[in-house]
Amino acid sequence: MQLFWEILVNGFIVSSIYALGAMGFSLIFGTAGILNLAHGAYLVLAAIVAWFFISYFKLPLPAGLAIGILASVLFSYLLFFLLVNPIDKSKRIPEEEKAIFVLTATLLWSIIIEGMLDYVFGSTPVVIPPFVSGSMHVFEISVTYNMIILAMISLLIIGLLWFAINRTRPGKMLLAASMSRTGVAIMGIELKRVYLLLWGIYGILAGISGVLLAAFLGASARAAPELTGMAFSIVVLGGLGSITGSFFASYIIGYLGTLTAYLISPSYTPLPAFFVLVVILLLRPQGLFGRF
Amino acid sequence: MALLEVSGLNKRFGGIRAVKDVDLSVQEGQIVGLIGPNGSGKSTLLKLLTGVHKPNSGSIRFDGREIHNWPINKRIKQGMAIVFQHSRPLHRQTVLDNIKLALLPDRVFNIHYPGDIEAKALQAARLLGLEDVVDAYPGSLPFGYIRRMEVAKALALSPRLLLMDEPFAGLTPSEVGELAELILSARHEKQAIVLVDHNVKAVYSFVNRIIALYVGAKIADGEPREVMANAEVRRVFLGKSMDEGQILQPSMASEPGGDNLLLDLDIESLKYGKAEILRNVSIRIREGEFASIVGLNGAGKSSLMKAVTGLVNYTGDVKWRGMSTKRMTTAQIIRLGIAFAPETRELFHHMSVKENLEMGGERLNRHELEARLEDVYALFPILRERVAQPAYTLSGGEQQMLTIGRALMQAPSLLILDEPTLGLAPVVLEAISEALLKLHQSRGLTILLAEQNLHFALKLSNSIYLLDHGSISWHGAVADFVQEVGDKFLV
Repeated sequence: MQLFWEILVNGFIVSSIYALGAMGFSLIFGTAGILNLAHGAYLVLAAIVAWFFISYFKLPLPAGLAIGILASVLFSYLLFFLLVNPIDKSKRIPEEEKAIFVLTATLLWSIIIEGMLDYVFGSTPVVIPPFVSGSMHVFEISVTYNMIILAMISLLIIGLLWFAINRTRPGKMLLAASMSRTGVAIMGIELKRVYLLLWGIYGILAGISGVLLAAFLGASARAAPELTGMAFSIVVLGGLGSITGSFFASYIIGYLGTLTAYLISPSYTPLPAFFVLVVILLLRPQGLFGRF
Repeated sequence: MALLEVSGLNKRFGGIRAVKDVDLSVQEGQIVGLIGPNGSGKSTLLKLLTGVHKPNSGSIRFDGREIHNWPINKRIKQGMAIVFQHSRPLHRQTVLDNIKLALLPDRVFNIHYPGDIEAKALQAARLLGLEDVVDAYPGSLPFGYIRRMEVAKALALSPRLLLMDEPFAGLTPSEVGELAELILSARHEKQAIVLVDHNVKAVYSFVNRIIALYVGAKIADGEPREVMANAEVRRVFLGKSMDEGQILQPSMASEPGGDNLLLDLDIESLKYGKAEILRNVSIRIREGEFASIVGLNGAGKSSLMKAVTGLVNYTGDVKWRGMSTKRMTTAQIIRLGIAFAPETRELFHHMSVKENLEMGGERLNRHELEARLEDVYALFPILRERVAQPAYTLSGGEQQMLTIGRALMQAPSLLILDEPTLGLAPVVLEAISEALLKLHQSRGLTILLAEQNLHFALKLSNSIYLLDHGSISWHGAVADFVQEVGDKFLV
């Protein structure tokens, strides 16, 4: 019975953080049509940079986290200005091949970030220190306050994102761009402005989920491809471009991983996600929620 | 017995019946053109014949055999040859090598290399006037030569039936004439040809039989002259028939007011890859004018509208009130006061009607926004009833109204409309036509309309530009158009 509660609680926390992690991935795909294969690298980047500033420079936790998130935003804009935008504007790359160029670019970008992190910070996994100490006893198990805080922050930010997209003017611009980019341009709205907003939000989302993940499970540069794979599975399972779909799919993937970790072995945690990916692509390629 | 016998052919894509119960037969030596407006199913029908798509039901018999389920390569072995619309030549092989490709054995394990392949390929090249360029690489040749090379590949197989998808698309009028002549002289008498092309004029002079399609069904079949004179064919291409005399009275639209030049367009050339879509097009629009660009599908109307709004690249210049817009982004051009209702509508499908309209009024303050919304609802009252519905749940006509309404939210000085009548019922056309008339006459809005439905355009405009295969072939007032062009519009 204790095992059951542990799986239930841990699964919920992991899933909530996954959900936040998948939001950015889903948003970039839905709005800009870009499958960002460097997603995992962004999560890890934010986590390692935050950890570095906290443990080496002894910065207070919030300051360290903020620097980690800033690093993610910075790299997000670098990806946009160095790779995505030039490919998009290029007259020498045929229109129909641009998507594959961008996809390859993000893959290489991911390898660059991983290599860089590995070189500068080494490959040992890092853990962000807990935000709060103490624990409480519920359902026969002990749950740290830190875990509860992590899940709460994830859900809170997802809620804020939902509000921003559906209720604010800039958010509606993003939403509109995900339905028709030409439509946005002929409303007199510069697509460049939309993209700047999008990549900024992406950097923030990836950064926050990266540090939260590292505060719960730890992070290392080597884990980047695996995290990208998880985000990809979640987003495909939920339906590419569907934010709601990604949210629910996160809980399926999160719980499957937690079950595997507890019942089989923690080293197989990511496997079920990839099985689900294969099965969903075979049986229901549009995902659980389709497009939107 | 007919060479090709098609009966009861049906093809569905999701809920859309693209081809409905089509019967046709083609005899040896016949040259058959399939024509029809956008969405008529002619391309789908050709793709069923080539094997690109498989029919949902019906039969295709070629030379007495049922082939509707055969793959493309088996059909080709049986004596068909196909010229696809988009050429993808091998750029690192010479023209001759590209032609030889068609003659290679179609199985990996068939290693016998036919000895006469060189001679056959050379002969095909010669027939299409490619003898001087056999050693050149496709990338160095003009588009017309690449088309010829594709036809040479097909004819090298000595097919009994040649299927061609848009062979004339993207060619200049002189290239069209050359290609047509070359094909006619290269083929031997018993070869049959079936082709699809938007260029009705080219088809008309090339074929000895025309089949006209409309929303997936055959509406006429026979001698080119008969088919083009057929009342229903004229109706589907022109809107209402020109012979009904309804448009002979001069347009109801008022005369253009000011002498203020709004748009001054000179496009030297617009190309997609090597295909030239527009050449030497000049259009001037004065304040208060209602100008229409008319022309058949594939004439380049949509590309012209996209050039004005900066959505495609071109050489030449488009000036707005004397200022060049060439280096501007689409959004900058729109903010000059040019609103665009594109053919593809580009609505935000999962947003409500109101949200779509608000996107149009993005630059207005709340007070102006409310006033504009009221204006649009007054023009299209149905949008007020649908205000909370997502755009994708609207009917085609309502979506078109929303597209126009969203453009009007921008308080434009010039409204550009691309094929607003496409696929709409007559009663909806009437409503849109009334709204446009009101906008133009009572509010003095300047309008540029690109339209295939001639009746619709003539009824509303002051001036007409006839776009024919990428160039303006006639331009003037509506009344003169009826007298000078009138019946000759189609062929």
